[in-house]
Amino acid sequence: MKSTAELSGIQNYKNLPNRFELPSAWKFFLYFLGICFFIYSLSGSGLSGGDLVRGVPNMARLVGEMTPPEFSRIRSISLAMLQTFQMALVGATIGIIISFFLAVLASRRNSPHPALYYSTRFIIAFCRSVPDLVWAVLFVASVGLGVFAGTLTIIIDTIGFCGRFFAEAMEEVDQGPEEALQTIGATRLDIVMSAVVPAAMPSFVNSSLFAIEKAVRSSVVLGLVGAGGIGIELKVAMDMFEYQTAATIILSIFLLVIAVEQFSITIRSRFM
Amino acid sequence: MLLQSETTYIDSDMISGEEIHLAVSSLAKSFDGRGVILDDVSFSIKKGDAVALIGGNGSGKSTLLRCCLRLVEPDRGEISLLGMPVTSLRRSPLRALRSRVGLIFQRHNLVPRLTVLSNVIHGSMNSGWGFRRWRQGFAPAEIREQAIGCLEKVGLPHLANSRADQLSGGESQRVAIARALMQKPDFIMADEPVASLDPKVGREVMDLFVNLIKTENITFLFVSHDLEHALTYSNRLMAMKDGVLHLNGETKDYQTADLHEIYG
Repeated sequence: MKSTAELSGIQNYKNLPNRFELPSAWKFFLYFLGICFFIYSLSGSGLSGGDLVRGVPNMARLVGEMTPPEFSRIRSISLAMLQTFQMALVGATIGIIISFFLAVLASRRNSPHPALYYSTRFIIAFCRSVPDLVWAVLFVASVGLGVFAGTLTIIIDTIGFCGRFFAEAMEEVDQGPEEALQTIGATRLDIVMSAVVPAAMPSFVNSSLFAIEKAVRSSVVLGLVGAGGIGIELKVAMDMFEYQTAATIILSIFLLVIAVEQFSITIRSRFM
Repeated sequence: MLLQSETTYIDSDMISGEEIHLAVSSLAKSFDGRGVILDDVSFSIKKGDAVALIGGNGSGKSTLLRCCLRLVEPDRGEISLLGMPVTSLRRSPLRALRSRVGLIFQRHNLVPRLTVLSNVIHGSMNSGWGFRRWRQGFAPAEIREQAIGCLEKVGLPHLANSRADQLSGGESQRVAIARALMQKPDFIMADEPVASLDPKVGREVMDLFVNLIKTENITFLFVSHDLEHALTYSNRLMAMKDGVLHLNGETKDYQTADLHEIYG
């Protein structure tokens, strides 16, 4: 009896490639090492089912003490929320603008000189690698407690985030239009502004919106180290055991973050 | 007669001047891993010539075009384009020279998210303040009018406000031609300009080229794999094979059968 392949005229190939490539011995050893380290890390991470179960009643008690939320300080909380949002918006916007110029220098194709390319890459990587709370502590120590330290922190944090993504977006755009403008006799600046930026714009907008969302979330916690905004209000409420007020603050933060994310989704869907 | 009903051709007798627009001498180029791409290529093109450059894939046609504008640096040889020594020009005069040559690409290479008008205005990039050519909104009134004029020449003034990435292939290539016309070029080079278009639209675009070079007195060098186009739309024909210039003569001296040897 003929097989289906024979009936359909398809030849039987004995040397078909493997469905999956087996890793080499060296790669297999690296994978094994990685898995071993992860198992070892589980013990170092403090994961404990017992502690989690024992913590549930405390969490339930805390939630109980938080409800119902206390709205008597809603005016001062609203002002602090507004300040937090302003800090995030201004810091992120300034950071996005600075990121754009740095990203031009940090994209290999557009940078006028390798020294500028490597130095701007280093600056952006440095801004990104230091956590925002560390920047906030440094700025509080430099310019004092308050919103200004928080705004500076968000600027630096945004540069670290957007600088990298803007540069990558510019490197990934189709080179055809660039070549066309080059043949017309355009300068490098003309090519960047006329061909690269329009092509990378969707990615710029996307990264910028994420940066603003990220800035809003960051600005909430920056207050914990004295860098202004709603964070300091939350810390005071928790320290003073005013859990119902803390609940109002957490609710306000939740509403702000959701509102910004929804705004961001709307803009993104219209622009993309 | 330049344009002859369905069968368009350019008669050598109609070529007005003897001025040399492109002279290439002993041009050589090789790439790591690909070997010799151009090997001792020499030829010249007179003002007003319409030259077809044919050859198989990898024969060096596109590299030759790019070397002529120094988008690719030749290893050795001399190139004189519109009377300028291309190989020895510094950056600024090289940009000025490039602005006099329209280069049309197979993929059209328009800036996708910008309007047709902005793309056409880019053609005047080297004729004034660059930032006033970045977008049509920044451009002076006379530049915008010139751009609309170029779109009229290619039959697309009604698409001025359309986005470039919403055009059909034929429209997109016409806009690329309008952008080249905006340069007020003395020379147009086209690298397989109709390869991505269907035969009918391809023929329309080639007819458009021929009409424009007639009315604007532009020298024309085009790369094509379409032997019928090569024989129809040129008065001179060059053929590359393995980086060497195999044929170089009057188009009327060749038949399709002669050209098939190049691809053998």
